[in-house]
Amino acid sequence: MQAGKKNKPIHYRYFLNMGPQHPSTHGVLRVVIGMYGEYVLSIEPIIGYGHRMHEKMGESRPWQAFLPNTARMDYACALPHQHAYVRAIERMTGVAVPERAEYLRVITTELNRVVSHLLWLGAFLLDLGAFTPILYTFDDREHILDILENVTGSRLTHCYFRAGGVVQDVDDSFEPAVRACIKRMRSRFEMYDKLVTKNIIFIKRTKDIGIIDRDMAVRYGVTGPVLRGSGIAHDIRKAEPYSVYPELDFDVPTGQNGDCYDRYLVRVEEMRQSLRIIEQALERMPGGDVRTKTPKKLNLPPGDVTSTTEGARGDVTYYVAGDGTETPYRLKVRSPCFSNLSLLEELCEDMLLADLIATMGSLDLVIPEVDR
Amino acid sequence: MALDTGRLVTDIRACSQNVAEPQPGACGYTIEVHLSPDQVQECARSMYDHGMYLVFITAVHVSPVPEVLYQFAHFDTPCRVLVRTSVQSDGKLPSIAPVYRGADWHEREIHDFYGIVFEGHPHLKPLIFAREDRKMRPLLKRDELVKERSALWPDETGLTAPESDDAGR
Repeated sequence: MQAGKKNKPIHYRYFLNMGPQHPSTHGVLRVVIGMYGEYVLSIEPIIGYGHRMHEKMGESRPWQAFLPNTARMDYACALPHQHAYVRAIERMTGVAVPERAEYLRVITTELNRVVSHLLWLGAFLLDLGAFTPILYTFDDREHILDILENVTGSRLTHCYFRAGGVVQDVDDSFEPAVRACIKRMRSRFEMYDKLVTKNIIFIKRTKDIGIIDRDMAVRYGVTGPVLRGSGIAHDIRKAEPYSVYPELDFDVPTGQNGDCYDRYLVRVEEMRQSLRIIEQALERMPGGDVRTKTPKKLNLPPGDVTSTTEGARGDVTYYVAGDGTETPYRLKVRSPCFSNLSLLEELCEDMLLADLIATMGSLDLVIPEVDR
Repeated sequence: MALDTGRLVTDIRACSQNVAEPQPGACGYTIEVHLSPDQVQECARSMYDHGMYLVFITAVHVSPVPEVLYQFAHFDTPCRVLVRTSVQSDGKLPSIAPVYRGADWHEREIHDFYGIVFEGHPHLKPLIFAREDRKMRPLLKRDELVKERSALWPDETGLTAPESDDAGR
C-alpha cells in the first residue's frame, strides 16, 4: 500500500466498471471502481438491478401468500428467511409450534446453511482462480439438495415452513439419508482442508486482506460469519436463542484478525458445527404432529413485532406491523448482505484490484437479497 | 465488551422520557423509545457510544405523518432497541449517517421508497432505483389505504406522543 496516490497526476487515474454482468460479482451487481494503476482509489457499488419490491408484495396480499417470496431473496439459504417470517407471524397471532416441527426446522435450516457455505466455498475459490474446488463442492451440495428436495419439494426456493409448524412430516428415508450425508461430508472436509487451508497461494491471497475491525462492524451493522471472522462471537442462535437451539450443543467459531482468511476458517468450521447440530437434533427429535391446526383466515392484530434468525450470512430480521386484517400493514426485511455490502466503500480503499475480488468473495454476497 | 443495559436505558431517558421495556419474547425488541425528530441524532450518538450496531432503518406510512423506525442491537449482550420517530411536517428528518455510516444506504433506500428527506445525509441519491424511477415512491399507500397511527398501535400504555410533533400536526 502506497500513501498519497490521490495526489498523483489525474491522467494516471481511470474508472473501471465491473458488472452488472461479471462472474466475480455473483449476481447483477455493478461496481464502479476509481483506479490508479492497479490500486483502488474509490469504489461505489450500484445495486437494484434485481429489485422486485418484495416488501410491497408483502403489504398487498394476505400474509400466507408472502411465504414463497421469503425463499426468493436469499436463494442460497432460504430457510432462515422463512423461519424469521413465520416466527414473526407466530409471535403476532400466538400460534404454538409442535416440538417435532421445531426440530425439523432446525435440521432443514442447518442443512441449508451447509449448502449455502458449500456454494460460497466453491465460488470464493473460483474468484481466486482455483477452478477445481467448485466442481467438488457442487457435488457435495447436490447430495444435500436431494434430501432437501424430498422434504421441501424444491431444490432451491424451499417453501417448507408455515405458521404453526412445517408443511409436512418427513418420511422414513429422511434420517438414514441425513446420517449418510453427514458421514460423507465429514470425510470431504478433511479433503478440503488438505487442498485449501494450507495452500500457500490461497494464504497469500487472503491473509491480511480486507480487515474488518469492531468499530467498522458496529457502524455498518456487519453480522454473520463476516463479523465472527473479526473475533466477535455474535450468533443469534446463541445470543437470542430461538426454536430448539438452546437444547443443542454447538460452538460459535471466531477468527482473530478479521481478514478474508479468517472468514474462510469461520465458515468451514461453521459447516462442521452445523453437522453437529443436525446429529443431535436427529437424536432428540420427538414424534407427534408437525403442524398446529390454524384457522384458514388468521388476522394479524394491531401492533408490530420483529423476529430475528441467524442466516448463513448473518442477522435476518423481519419487521411486521399488523392492522387487524390478514394483510400486513408494513413488512420490512432486513437482509444481512445489504449491511455487509455497504461497507465495501470504506473497506476496499487503497487495495489492489485482485484483493478487492478476494474481499468481495469473502463477504459471501447474494445480490437478490441486497436488492430485494 | 458487555453492554450495561441499565446505563443504556438511563442514557436513552436523557434523550426522551418515552421509554418502554416490553416483555422479552413478546415483540422481538426489549426497549422501545419514542423520540421527536430533533432527538434522533443525540440518541444515535448515545447508541454508538454504547457499542450498539445498526440493524435496520425503515418507515411506516401512517397518517398524519409517516413514522421512521430504527433498530439497534448489541454484539455481546442480548438487547434490541426499537426507536420510533415521526417525520417532521415538511417531510424531513435529521440523518444519522454522520454517526453510523451504515445508515447511509438505509436512508437512501427509505428516500427511494417514501420520499423522506434526511437532512445532513452526505449524498441522498437513489440507491435501489435507477435515475428515471427515482420519483416512484412505491411504499407510499393510496389515500384510502393509509391508516391512523392509533389504528396500528392502539394501546401504547404510558406513552405520549412526542411534544414537538404536535406542532407539525
